Amino acid sequence: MTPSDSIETVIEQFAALPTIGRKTARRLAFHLLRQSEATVEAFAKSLVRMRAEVRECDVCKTFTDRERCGICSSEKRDRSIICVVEEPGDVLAIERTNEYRGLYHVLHGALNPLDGIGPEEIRIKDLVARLDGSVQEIILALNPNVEGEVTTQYIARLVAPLGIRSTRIARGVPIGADLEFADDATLARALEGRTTI
Amino acid sequence: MTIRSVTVVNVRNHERSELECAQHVNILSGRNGSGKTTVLEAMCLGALARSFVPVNDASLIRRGEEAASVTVHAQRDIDVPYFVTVRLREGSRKRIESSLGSNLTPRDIVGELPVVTLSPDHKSITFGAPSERRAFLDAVMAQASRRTTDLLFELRRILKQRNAMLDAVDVDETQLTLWTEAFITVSAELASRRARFLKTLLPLIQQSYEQVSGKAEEINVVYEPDGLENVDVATETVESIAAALRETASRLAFRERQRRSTLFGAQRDELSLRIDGGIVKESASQGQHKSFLVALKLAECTILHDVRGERPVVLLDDVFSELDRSRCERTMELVLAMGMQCFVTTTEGDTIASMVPAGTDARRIILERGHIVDMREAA
Ligand SMILES: [Zn+2]
Repeated sequence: MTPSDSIETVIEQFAALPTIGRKTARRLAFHLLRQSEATVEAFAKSLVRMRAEVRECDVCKTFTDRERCGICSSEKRDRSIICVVEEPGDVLAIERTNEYRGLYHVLHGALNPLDGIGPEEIRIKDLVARLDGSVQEIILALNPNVEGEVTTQYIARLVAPLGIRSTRIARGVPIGADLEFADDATLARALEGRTTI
Repeated sequence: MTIRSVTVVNVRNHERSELECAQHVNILSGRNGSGKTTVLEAMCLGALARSFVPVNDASLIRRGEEAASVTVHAQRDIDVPYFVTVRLREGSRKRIESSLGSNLTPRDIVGELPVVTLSPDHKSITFGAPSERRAFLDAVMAQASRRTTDLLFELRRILKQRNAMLDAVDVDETQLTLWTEAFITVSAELASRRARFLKTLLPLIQQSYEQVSGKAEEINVVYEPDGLENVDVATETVESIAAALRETASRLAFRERQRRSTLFGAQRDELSLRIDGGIVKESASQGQHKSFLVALKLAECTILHDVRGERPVVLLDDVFSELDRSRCERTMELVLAMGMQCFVTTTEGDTIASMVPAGTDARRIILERGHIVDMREAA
């Protein structure tokens, strides 16, 4: 017996979210109960609105409220480079560096035969369709795991005949970490990807 | 490494047990079901983030409880303290914290507190399938280097993906080629590492065998990497091993498509154990099996000490089920001579205690139904 079915439902909903356990779900539910009705309503509405209005950008496929996202419609971006990432969250991560001025392309996943995800299931065709004469380089910035690696190779092979340069981000030692504490895999890859100075 | 104390909370039938350890020998005795093996499992959990018994995390948690934890406090050989806490919770990831930091993964802690375990399950190393011997070698290598852990993880993952590709209704050739190439790259590096590692390990196994058995039999361990019959993997470069695997792959391509599964690679390697040229599994006596197993474990101790610069802690679970009195005595002698701390579980505490040489810091721990009921110096 639970004292309130509606509380229980909310707890269930929160607990179904990633990284949230039942204990945290319970805390969130009781926290919301202590807020004013208006606050909770605004919160709920923002969720509904987000789901209803957010869509994929026509060009780069990242999440946006418009047909074309702010990056794709900006005059200031370099249109000759496209950085390919797996998820919309990766765009935010790269943007935070303030170092990149080109465009993006979001695949919404990586090749994963186990989950039945092939080239058709991620936005690879849309990427190829963007490669008209103006694009000179694509940067492959996929996750450093086996699926990301194979997807990187797949795309590199696909664009090779088009005469477009494809590069990948270096997998190196994280800045701020002492070399001696870098794990051997990272260090091995960093050595492999060494550059001339 | 010397374990100073172990705290076991809600693991199997232990509610809360705190063990203060002796420097050299710790004898845990009690009847079956008293929870003595669980204490060793707990130490293993602190060292490798898993038990030495193949078991899922949920079944380690005491019935009726949501979570369990193990904390090990130890002293490194260079006299620096080390601690690790592993928390298990049903339905969620292990939470690991240690002297290295918090929010760690098993990969971060494996090898920090090196352990060598001998349990009744391990007789499958000499008696069982190739996978058992491969698992032995891989586990030693994993404690010695993180790269091995990563490679093994990648191998399993790529293998699953490649099998899913081969099993698809219509196979995308480009993609299959890429998974095959990724698979070959990892297989080749693993084969090279296994071969080189074994080269260092073999003389240690031979030496330990002679010490344990007292016999000068000719001991050999031959690495037989799958699909690489004509390649000397210990000396060739990873690139040329990969080239040989590529040939194997194209030779098998048609059959793999028919069988819808991967038919080559490092997950099929064999480690052939030999005594005087004969294959142990087929022709060795019971005594030779036992000596071989102990020799493998002692060699594991030596090599871990060599590569990590840290003496491993030795966990002997239910020794008398595997070893007769004389082998047991010699094993303990050798372990102590190497300066390693050991933990022994047994139903015959008095017998083990009588084997402990004078002047050894030894302790007897008596358990009953998940409780430590007595701890005293073993004179
Ligand atoms: Zn866009």
